[in-house]
Amino acid sequence: MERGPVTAAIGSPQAAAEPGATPGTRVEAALEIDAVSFAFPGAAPILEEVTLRVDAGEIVALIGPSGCGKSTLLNLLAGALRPSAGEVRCFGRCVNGLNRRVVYMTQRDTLLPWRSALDNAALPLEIKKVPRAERYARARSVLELVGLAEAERRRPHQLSGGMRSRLSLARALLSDAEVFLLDEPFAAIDALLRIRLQQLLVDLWARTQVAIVYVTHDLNEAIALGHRVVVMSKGPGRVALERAIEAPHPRTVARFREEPEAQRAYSALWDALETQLPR
Amino acid sequence: MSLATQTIGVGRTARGLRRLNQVDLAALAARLGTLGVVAALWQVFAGGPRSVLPADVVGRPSSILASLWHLVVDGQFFSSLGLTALSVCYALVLAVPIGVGLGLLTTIRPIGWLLQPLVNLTYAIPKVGLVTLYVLLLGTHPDTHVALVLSQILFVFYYATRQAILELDPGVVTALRLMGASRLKLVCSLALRAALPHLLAAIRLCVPLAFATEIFAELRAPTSSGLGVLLQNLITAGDGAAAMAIMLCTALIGYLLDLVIGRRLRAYTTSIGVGLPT
Repeated sequence: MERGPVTAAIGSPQAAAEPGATPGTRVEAALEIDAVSFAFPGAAPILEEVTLRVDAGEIVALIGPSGCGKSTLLNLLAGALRPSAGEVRCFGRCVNGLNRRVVYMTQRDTLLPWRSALDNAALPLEIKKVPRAERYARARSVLELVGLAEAERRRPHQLSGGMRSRLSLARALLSDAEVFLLDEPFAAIDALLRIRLQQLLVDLWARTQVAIVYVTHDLNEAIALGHRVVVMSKGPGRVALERAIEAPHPRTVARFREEPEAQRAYSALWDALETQLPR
Repeated sequence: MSLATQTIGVGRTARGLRRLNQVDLAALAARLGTLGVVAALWQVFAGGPRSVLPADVVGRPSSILASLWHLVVDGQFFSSLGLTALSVCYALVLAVPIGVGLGLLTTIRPIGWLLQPLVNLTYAIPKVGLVTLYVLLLGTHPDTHVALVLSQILFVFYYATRQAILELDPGVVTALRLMGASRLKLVCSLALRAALPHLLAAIRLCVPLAFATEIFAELRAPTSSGLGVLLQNLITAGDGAAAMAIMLCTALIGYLLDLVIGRRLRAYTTSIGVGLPT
């Protein structure tokens, strides 16, 4: 299989990520969403009876119409919201309060504008009180991994949209989280650069083997990135369809849509998605 | 970015700076010219055969400059300015931590619920009315002046801090909390840093306000020295020109401080990308 340029630069992915590794064989659940419903007080339900499992090291792409509760689901997984009914578990433990085993990346980055790229990347280590020399050394190596070594002294406003996304990814990697919750992280970025960032994400996943829940509006992106794609129904959000993408990871994102499996998945998922879109 | 693009960029910046300097110089010349015209009209219409302004009250620019020269030469002006500035500094040094601390405390829900109405109520009290209370409590002493200035400016820092915290992006707070940040870390690494532009703006607002309040306090509760005391003495002696010189100098000091703090504020906000096109 062809590899993206970043994969080539950072070396071989771990054995488990080599072609042939199937997510279905994993036993440990990173996240379990058990009959979860959610509504804000006095408002209509946003999510109803959602049941979903994300295995450790698996990438699950969530797709659905606007307002179907995808971001709410991520907030529940992060522990920023509490379910009205049901239970969310992370590695077997009930999520009660903020879930510190996850890192949450949104479309709008959460970088600190007064910090340099290096200091922003090193923030999770600073919070964990890692000694200064060690945290900078680790932050520099991750910045190099995401191609920002030259920009370590720049502040976020001096970086382009793509560079900011890469910096957010670098910070997420240094947080040592076991689950990444990504809410349309590359939505505001132009199409060509978005493909490069998707490839970077796949390559980084291959190294780290974290579980990823990836919310997107782009079906091709969902298919190219996910081991599984979950289609959510329009509000109140439910799981309308789950489809495994039967192709090995890490994939070459730019070329993956040409694969027969990608085309079959697109057709099946589009049929399910189309019924959920407003007429 | 290629070297050629960078060179073109630098060339454009240099040309831009040259143009900016020309604009700045023209603006400066226009401002000085306007001041000159005002001073000339003042000189002509204060006292003398075409008198419109009462020269014994407002003085004439020539006599104001002469009086200022005397005050500077005999040391009265700078010793008074020093004492006034010292009181203003004490008040600022106290106001920043108290105002910021209160602002931070009232964002904690139960404390805010208890304290915020009290602070809002205190803010509404006309501060100039407190001078009598402070004289009764502290006597006719520089501490009275500091207390009055503190009462006046404390709230600016309180509200600036509160506003900065209310404007914090909840996404950033959640991101930091997910990383394991404690409440103290959130305050130090996020809240205080995010409040910095607001606090610099508050200092900019407070310095002239503090000077004005200090001079008012010195006029109402005069001690041995200070710009207000000097002003009071000059008014009592009927030296309108010297009193005007003190007032104009106070205005000039306020203007210069505003200029310096404003530049620092702009430099800081530019360095973190606030107000820049994204």
